[in-house]
Amino acid sequence: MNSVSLTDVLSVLPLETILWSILGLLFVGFAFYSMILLWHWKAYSTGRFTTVASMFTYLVVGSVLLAIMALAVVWLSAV
Amino acid sequence: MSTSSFQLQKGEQVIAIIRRHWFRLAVVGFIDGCVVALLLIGLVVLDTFVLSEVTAAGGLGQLLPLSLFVLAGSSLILWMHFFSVWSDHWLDAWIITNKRIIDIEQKGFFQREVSSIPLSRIQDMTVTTEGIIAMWLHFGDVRIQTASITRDLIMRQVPFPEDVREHVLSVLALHNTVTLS
Repeated sequence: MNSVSLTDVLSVLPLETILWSILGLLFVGFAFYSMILLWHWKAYSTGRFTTVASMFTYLVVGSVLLAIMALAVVWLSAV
Repeated sequence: MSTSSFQLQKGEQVIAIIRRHWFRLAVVGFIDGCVVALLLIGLVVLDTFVLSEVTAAGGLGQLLPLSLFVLAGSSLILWMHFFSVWSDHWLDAWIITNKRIIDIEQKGFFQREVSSIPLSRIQDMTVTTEGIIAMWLHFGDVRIQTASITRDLIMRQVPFPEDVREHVLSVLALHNTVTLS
């Protein structure tokens, strides 16, 4: 029986396509989830400053993480 | 003041807005942080051993960006989880006005329960603090017994429950004075 190395597996898999698909799904999920979350806060919150500050923090950090994922895929393509 | 879930009556003023203690939120944040840290350690260890083997074999250097992708993706999911808990924490509140106590409870995203108890129906209040952490961080439950047969109002895990009790009692005393005069 031939042993298959990790290098072989990585070189055969269409990694970029898989990663872009995962990123796309996460992006859609994040956008939909954020829409619900922000609508809730806007509709029901009883403290304006904390609500706006939290909305800002949530969206900025979420976007940064998505950007890191996109950069990782671009990096992977360059390797 | 008005939100889409409740409207203040004529002459009603908000005296205090009380929320749950931050302890539960901190525990969730700590657990989420630990998961990210463990993932980071796992990926570093994996990269150190596997990457060196692959590089030595003249193979691919794909594991580093792949690890970054996995780490950022997991962090995003945990970040969303933390904010759903934060949302639940922030949207649950007890609003004390000069006429009633409003109990707002957010149950998930699509269920919200808003009930209110007029101050005139309050009969007794009990404070319960259980456990060493609750004693140390000063949080506990305040049970407000009412003349209603349906249920008592319980403010769960509120900070400084004794102070909340005293506060409600002083509002109640003021309300009774105004009503009697």
